[in-house]
Amino acid sequence: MKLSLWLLAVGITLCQAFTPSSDWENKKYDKTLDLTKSYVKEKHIIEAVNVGSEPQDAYFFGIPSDLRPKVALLISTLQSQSQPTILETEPVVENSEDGFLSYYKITLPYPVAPKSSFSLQVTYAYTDSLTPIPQTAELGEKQTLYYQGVKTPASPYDTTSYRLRVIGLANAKEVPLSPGEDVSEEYQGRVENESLVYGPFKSTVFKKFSSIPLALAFEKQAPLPHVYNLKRDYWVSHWSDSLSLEEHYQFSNKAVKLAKGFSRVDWMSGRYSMKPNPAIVAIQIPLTPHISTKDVYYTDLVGNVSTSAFIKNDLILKPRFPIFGDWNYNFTVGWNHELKDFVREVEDKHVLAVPLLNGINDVTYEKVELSFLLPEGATFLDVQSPVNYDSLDVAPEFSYFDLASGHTRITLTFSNLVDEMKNLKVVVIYKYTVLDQFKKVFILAGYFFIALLAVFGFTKLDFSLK
Amino acid sequence: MFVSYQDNGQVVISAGKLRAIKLILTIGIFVSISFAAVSSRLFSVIRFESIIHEFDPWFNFRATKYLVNNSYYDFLNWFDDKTWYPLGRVTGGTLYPGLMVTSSVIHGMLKACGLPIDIRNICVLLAPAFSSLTALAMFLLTMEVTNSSEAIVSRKTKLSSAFLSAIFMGITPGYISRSVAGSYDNEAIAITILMVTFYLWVKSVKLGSVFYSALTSVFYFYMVSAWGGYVFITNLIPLHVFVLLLMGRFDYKIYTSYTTWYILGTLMSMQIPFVGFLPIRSNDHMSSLGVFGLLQLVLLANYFKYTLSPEKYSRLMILFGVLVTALGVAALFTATKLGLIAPWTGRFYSLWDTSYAKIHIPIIASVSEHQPTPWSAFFFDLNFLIWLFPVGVWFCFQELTNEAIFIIIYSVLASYFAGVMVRLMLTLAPVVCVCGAITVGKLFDNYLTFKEFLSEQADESEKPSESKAKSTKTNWVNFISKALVSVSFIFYLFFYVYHCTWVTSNAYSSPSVVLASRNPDGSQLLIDDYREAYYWLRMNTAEDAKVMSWWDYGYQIGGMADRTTFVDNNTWNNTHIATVGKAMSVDERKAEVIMRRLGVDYILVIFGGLIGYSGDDINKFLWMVRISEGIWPEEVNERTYFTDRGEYRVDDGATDAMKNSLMYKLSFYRFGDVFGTNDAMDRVRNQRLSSSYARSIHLDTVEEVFTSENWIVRLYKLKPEDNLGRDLITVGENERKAAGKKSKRLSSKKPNLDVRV
Repeated sequence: MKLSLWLLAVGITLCQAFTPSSDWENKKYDKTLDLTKSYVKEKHIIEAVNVGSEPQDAYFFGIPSDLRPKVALLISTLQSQSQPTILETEPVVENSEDGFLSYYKITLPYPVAPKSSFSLQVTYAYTDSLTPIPQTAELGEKQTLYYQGVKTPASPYDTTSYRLRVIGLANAKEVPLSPGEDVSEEYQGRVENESLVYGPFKSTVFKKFSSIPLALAFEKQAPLPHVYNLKRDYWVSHWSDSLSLEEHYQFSNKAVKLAKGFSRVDWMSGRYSMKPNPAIVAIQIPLTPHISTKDVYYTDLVGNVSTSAFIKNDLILKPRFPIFGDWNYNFTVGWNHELKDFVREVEDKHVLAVPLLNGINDVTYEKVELSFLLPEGATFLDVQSPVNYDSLDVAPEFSYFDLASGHTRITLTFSNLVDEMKNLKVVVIYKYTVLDQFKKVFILAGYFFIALLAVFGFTKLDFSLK
Repeated sequence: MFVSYQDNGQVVISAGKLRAIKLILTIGIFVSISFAAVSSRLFSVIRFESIIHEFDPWFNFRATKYLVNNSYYDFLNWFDDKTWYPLGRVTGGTLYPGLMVTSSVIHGMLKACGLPIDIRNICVLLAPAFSSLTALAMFLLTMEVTNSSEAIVSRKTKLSSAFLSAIFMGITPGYISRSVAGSYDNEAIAITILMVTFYLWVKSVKLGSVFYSALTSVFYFYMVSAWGGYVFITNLIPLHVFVLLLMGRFDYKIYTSYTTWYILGTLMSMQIPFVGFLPIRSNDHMSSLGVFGLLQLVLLANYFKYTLSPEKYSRLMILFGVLVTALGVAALFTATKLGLIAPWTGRFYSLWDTSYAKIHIPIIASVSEHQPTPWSAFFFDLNFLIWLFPVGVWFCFQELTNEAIFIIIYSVLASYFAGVMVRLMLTLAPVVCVCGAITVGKLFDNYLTFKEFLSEQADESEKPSESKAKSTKTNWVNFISKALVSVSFIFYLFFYVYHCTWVTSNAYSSPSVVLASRNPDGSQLLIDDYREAYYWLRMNTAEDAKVMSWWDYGYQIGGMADRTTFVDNNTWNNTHIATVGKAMSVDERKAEVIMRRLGVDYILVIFGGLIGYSGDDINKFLWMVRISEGIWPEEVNERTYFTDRGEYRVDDGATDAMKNSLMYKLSFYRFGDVFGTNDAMDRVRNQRLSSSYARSIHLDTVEEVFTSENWIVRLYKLKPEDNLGRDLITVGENERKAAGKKSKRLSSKKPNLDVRV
């Protein structure tokens, strides 16, 4: 922390890109590019050796600077014998304008002596990197996606042995960066077990900061679901012992657009709703098994949508119309859980742990507002999130029979999330005693009493003119 | 103990306890009536969902949302640029705000009580809630009518008559048709206010009380703010007073109540922007003004009667009468000629001449609820009350109190209007319920009493034996005849409830936005095409996109799709509607010119041919033709859409005007492709389009952008003008020619290829 602050200060004062010192050398660098989902995942297995003269306790992991704002998730683990331990990783705040690479500082659990090595795995996912080419297509035409990345390790350290594997593609081929150009001859890949493999390059040394662009085009007959904004409201109710969830989606599809207007007759005759194609015909929400989910509703801005069904443990929502590329569909879905499945009582406090996302499969989120509505009279103590949030907002909200201070709404705003983060838990700690619980009833009863008294008094008044 | 027994076997209950029992019973009956009234209106919510129904309610809902989100003054000054493009609509000044204000006040009050209920639910449930108030008002009205007269209903059956009228009103289909949950229309609250106003009026005439007549005018004001049908009150009350004057019933009670009501009511009604100066200018309001003047003259005459000698008085009266009549008629004519008084409106004329609208104003005639009422509708909407109604009126004639005269006048007027327009059945229903309840009350008063029989049976043992046989015989005959009548009427009452529930459930509980159907396995299937297409528009078009459709769908597009429309159900501008009608009726080339001038982006048509939905645009097409023919008779001619033999055909044998019209093409474009190589079948009109013909229907200036799942809604986009300045139709024709040549060439080349291979 101190170091990064110091770095920040340096960065600001010198107005210069931060460059880590080249104390490491990547002895073995194994990069896997996963394109099976609607976003991109990369897995880097690095074996690095300390070539400096002093023990090092930090390794700087570089990613291309233009990717930095798109990164949804980055986790680094130490590849030890028994089980991987998660390492403390934090982005290096710097003036990134002129730097080709952006860095994450990975703090090692112990300083590594010169000449000794360690093994590290970095996994990260980033969004908004797959685009259809061409951008429009006729109904039923195949969709081709385009990906642009870096073929080389893109590390601030020299790499001596390197391999790149691209998985999840049917028939990928390298394409020129811009039309007319040739595909670069350097480091050709080959198809191996349905994946595209480059290397391993054992003899060549990839100098630090070396960068060769990689452009891939591949066919994929699947939508690229995207959520512009998701509002998730958790309503806590101790009286009814329920936890209600209401989610408002601004749903869209980033896949190929229709070249012409949507023709129902072609859609019907082609039976596209049965075939894999870039339009979204159903939204699948897996529900957590063994946790009761009741009273499911599915509506949108014009009312109830009658086409939803449970298939095994999945909630299948069928939108009003198939969602083609660039079409939008806003909807609301909600249900009730039993509170005891989510809340634990620790001494006089309540600890509520809920998933960060409820997972539609294979989707990217631009913005997520996660709210907790604590019952009236509850005192909010703390919130803990495994993912960094942009803002935390606590405000009262008045709901049914909130005649005193209202529900407490705690809103966490996240940006750029992917569906794989659905298992992460956000924890809210609050205080809500039995006394608080009954206070509301007394207030309500008091108001009723006053109202009845007023009616009684009113009937006693005499307005007649005499 | 609750009761005590005396030595002689009589049961004694203290007066206080009896009062308590009566109160509990009264409250219990009211609660049950309210429950019956509200719950029978909830079919649609339970079967479908809490949704706004039909067409006009969508506008009311949208306006209510505007009022809730903005201040009241913003609402009154609301200029809506999302309708009637490019004209816009001065919405705040052209609506009756009562309904919206009512629901927003309820919304605000509930919110203040800690119940922040969604405004949509308040709007949906407003009509059922008010229906239970209507039942209460009916109770009071019937009580008031029967109160002062023993001849109409006896004292002890008064209460049961009043309760019967309340329950009749609560569940009569004639009223339910306009007040089911979701039917968020002016009538939903107007009927309640109508009944309260009439109750207060009857009461104020009886008491001559300024307080009650001021209350009457307050409710009259509420009525004016809520529904155009307030004119009914404006004419009924003066007519009542006029008839009373003719009967020589003038007294200061009538004078006080009428003048108070007229002055306060007129002044207050002028506060509604949409009404403004109509109460002193419109002919619809002249009768109330006339009666007001007449009352002053009668008062004067009354004064002279007591001061002058009888001869002088009669001479003066004759002179006075002639002068006043002449002056009055002359003033009316000159004022109308000078334009000081607004001319009679078309809707007014169509009230007196049922064929007037059909000839002169097709736009009024095109609305189904403005059609004359078929006979069956009376039975359908009122069941057995319709034949009890004349009996009730006859009972009112038994003792002509002021209240009874009011009921008689009301029955006569409402019967006439209900016969002219289907929708005015609504104003007939209350008086039918009052008269029906009086009849049933009277019948039960005479036939459902077995006290005599029972007491005679008890006395029998004490009587001598010879007279015993005779009296027992007559007793039994009497008993059986009484029982027969009672049982048959109890059956009718049961049947009434059954019928009302059946009608409500089957005829009046469909939201019409969602259609219910059945899957092959018997489970319910909802056909939700309207919302599918409206939601598509809302989600996937530019926010300022302008959608052209027939005016029926204007309010729905505004409410659900939130897009700008050209014409809507507020049919204030006939020419604009005719323009849209013309664009639909003429061929593509002419239609393109009109649409470009209007600034159309999207076109929405309703087509039921695939699944057999009969309320589609092709069935409404003739109205579009007629309305546009009214403005452009030389360009559009209704006759050309019928074949020589006078048939309305949409298949291969349709006329050229039909085949070329934009509406026809938009409806049937690519319809043939659904059926593959078979002939396309229009399931609404049961006509067969040959496969080759159906495939030849083409469109050049517009492009299909969306069609709903069952093809009910089809959306097209007006193509942008050609970059090279070519005519889109010529481009299309050339393309088709080229495509034709190509396929010919290919087919001719094929054998050569085969040979080569």
